[in-house]
Amino acid sequence: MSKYAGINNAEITSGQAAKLLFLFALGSAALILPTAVTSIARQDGWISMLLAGPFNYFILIIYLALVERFPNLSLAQYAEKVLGVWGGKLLTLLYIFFFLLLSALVLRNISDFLNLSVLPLTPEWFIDVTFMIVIIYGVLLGIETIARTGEILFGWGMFVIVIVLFSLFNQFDLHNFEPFLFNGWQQPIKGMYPILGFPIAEFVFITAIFPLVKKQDRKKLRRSLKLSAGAITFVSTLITVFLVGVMGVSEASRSPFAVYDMAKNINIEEVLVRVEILVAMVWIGTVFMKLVLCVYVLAVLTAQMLKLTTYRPLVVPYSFIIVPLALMVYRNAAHTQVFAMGVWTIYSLFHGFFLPLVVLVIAVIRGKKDTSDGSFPPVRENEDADKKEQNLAKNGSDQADKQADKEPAPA
Amino acid sequence: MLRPTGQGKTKADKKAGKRPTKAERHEQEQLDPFADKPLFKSLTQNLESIKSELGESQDIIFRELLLTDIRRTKALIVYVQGMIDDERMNEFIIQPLHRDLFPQDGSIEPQEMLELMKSSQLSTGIVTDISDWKLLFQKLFMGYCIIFVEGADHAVGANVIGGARRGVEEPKTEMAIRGPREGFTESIRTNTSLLRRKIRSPKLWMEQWTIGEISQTPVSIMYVKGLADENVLKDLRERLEGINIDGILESGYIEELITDQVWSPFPTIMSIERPDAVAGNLLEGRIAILVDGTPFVLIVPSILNMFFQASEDYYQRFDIATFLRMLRFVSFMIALLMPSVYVAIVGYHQEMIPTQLLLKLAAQREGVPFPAYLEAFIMELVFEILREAVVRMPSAAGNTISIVGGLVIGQSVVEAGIVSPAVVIVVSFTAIASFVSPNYSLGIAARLLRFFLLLAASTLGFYGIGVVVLMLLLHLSNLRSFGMPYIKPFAPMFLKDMKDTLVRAPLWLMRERPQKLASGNRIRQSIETEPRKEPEQ
Repeated sequence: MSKYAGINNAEITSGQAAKLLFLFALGSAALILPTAVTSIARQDGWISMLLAGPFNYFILIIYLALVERFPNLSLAQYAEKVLGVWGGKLLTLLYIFFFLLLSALVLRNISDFLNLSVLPLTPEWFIDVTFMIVIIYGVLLGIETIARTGEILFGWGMFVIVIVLFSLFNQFDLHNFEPFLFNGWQQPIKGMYPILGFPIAEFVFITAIFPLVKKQDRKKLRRSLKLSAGAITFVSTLITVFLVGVMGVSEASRSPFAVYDMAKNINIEEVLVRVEILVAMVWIGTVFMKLVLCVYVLAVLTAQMLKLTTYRPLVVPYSFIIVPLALMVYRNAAHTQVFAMGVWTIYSLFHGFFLPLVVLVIAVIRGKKDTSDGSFPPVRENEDADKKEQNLAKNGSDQADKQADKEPAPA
Repeated sequence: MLRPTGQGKTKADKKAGKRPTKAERHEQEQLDPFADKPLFKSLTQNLESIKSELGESQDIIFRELLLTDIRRTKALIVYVQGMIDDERMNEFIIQPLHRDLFPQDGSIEPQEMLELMKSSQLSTGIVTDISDWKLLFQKLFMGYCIIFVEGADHAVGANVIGGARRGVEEPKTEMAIRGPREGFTESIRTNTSLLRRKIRSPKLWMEQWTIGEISQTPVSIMYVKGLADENVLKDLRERLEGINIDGILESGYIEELITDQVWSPFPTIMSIERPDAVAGNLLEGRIAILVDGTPFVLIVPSILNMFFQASEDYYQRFDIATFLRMLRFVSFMIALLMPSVYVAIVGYHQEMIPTQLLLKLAAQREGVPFPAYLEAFIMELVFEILREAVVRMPSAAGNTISIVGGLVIGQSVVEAGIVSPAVVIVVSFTAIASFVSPNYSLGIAARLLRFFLLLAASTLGFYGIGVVVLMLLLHLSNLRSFGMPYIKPFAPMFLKDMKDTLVRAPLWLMRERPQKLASGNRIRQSIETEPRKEPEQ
């Protein structure tokens, strides 16, 4: 197999797709969302998380219905089949703006966090740039590599979450949950509002991943995604429960990065103290997965809209847009909360729920189905070598002699 | 020639189907001027050609014999002194030729003489016809003796390979407490025989090439037919045939020329010195590459997990083997991360240190002129220099280095207050941990990456470590060894293969060979091997 294998197109398993979804959902939400939810629903925040659980899967049903009609196409491609060429391109353009903004927001989240809690003196742009370098590297390596990295990060993330939660058991106080449902069911239902927009509607990224899932794995896809949605609900509820149980509502709803602050409470015999940096490391990992997927989808959608043969030349230019955008997208970390709790849900649901639903409805009405293959043409392995040889032929034999010395050229 | 396919053409030639350029042809002529040219019929002409071609080198011995008295038919024996076994030469070649076998009246043609010689006189195992110069020189320098007969258009080569070579000894780099004591040697034939003795099956197949235009090094691949993946075999053959180089002096050359990713600190081809470990890998469906002149045998495809497996794991009980496996993984992590984590904690995250320890550390660092990262960097560099010195120096100087390294640098540097004792502890522990890896080449990765991580930790603390580790993770996920993902049983996840990774399951649980590796027959053992419970009374 060549070293170019899987760079442009690749196949991932349904399990990998499910893990990607899980990491994307935990992504930036794990640290920020519980604060937003508890500030609305107070001590019943965990009920909001639980109630939002089914929506994790409901929204996927739309995407799954679409992918059943167009098994080998991504959103950008079937939008053109359903809405006509220009309508489809317009829709894709909306998604490109969406993912561009989302990437910038996610990048800003991580630099805000590091700047506020870990590296107060480091300039924000420096953190943004270093993180973006990793992202560029990851996106250029392709989805297969991203998915494998995701599998490792998934294991490591689960491990740390279990460790952290276990070490917090001794500080858990059930009284923090009282009064239970102090304002009736209204409060936890209101608490669902940011959840719907923040991770859930952003799941639309997966429409670009679905066509890459192995054909023989497609049957298992639904089951894996259900499991993944269940795991997302379970973990986010668990985190919220611990947050309120350990820190109390008032502290939890005020701290901008509540889970990180919760981990500061860990103290086992004065030996294992202040391991919050472990949480930060996991969070860096999950945010990395979210951002890398966003940038990947952004580049892929653009390439598909413009009918390019590969998405790779787009990655670096996009990074040059994302980093400055991240620096100016919010005024400060407090602004993040307001934005996440207010505007974002509407904007996000419009792209994650409304537009795919419209595409699906129109596809059903017009009876569109298409099994054509929308993947990028394979990278020609010998392209570089061929060019070299042509050049050599022109330049005469002297250089060829040197070249032969230098390159014993294995396959 | 020895090539099973391709007949000496490189992959590039076949692919393009085009004529070699002028430069290539020129190079080719320089390298083997005699390629495919037939031998002369005249004995003296042959003799003169060999002499002039070899520059009258004194270690080439020419021995003339008279085969028939009346017609005075002459024979000529050519061999390289030191590459043949003199006793066998005398006993099996020269003595039989002195016996009068041929009719003295000259009623026999030279051609027939050679045939008769082959069938009833030469009493060595391997006798080959040689009709062109390329093969002649190849055999001559393998340790054959070449017999010419006046008037015959071809010669006969007889195998009397001998001369001084190292015997089978205990492997130097892969020690084991329990397990066979023999290691590979520099002779490819000894090595293949060592493998044959481990796997006595007709399914153990071998293919051989001669690689290196000047060095003419024999390179073999060995695999168990039916277990090794045919695609990997095909790929490997293509890659080996694509090699076009002047000389192969060690398997490291082959490794670097056929590896998937050169730009990586991680080895994607494993080199092993123990026949039992290679046999174990062959049984899992991997392929061994043996190169003459080195005791290191290459294994493809190699994945990261294999570098944590020692052959001893399978000879010991599974519980201790599992413990040692985990110890090795942890040690690798320590070797990779410990100095940078120390620097990150001391420089950026002091809150993680328990208060008592923090006070101690602060007291130690009192008066140390350098920041923590510089201390760590200096000590790491000192350690690497010491390590390289110990490897290269004559063994007589060993004690001096250990005294100077251990006492003078370790102790005095602390006493003089140049670095703090904590850094010395961290660096020495890292050093010890880096030697735990059962395979040397993986330790190299940790050794190099440690400095990058140190740099990242000193500029960005734990975030820097996180960024570099993420990049490493991406890099590892991207690596392949002959099409096989490098971190395979972990990602992509194969739950069934996890039994031989962080843990070493009891042998009766490892019923199947690794997935995607053994092509046909995946079942390793019958179900009966499971220990049965005693029937209850």
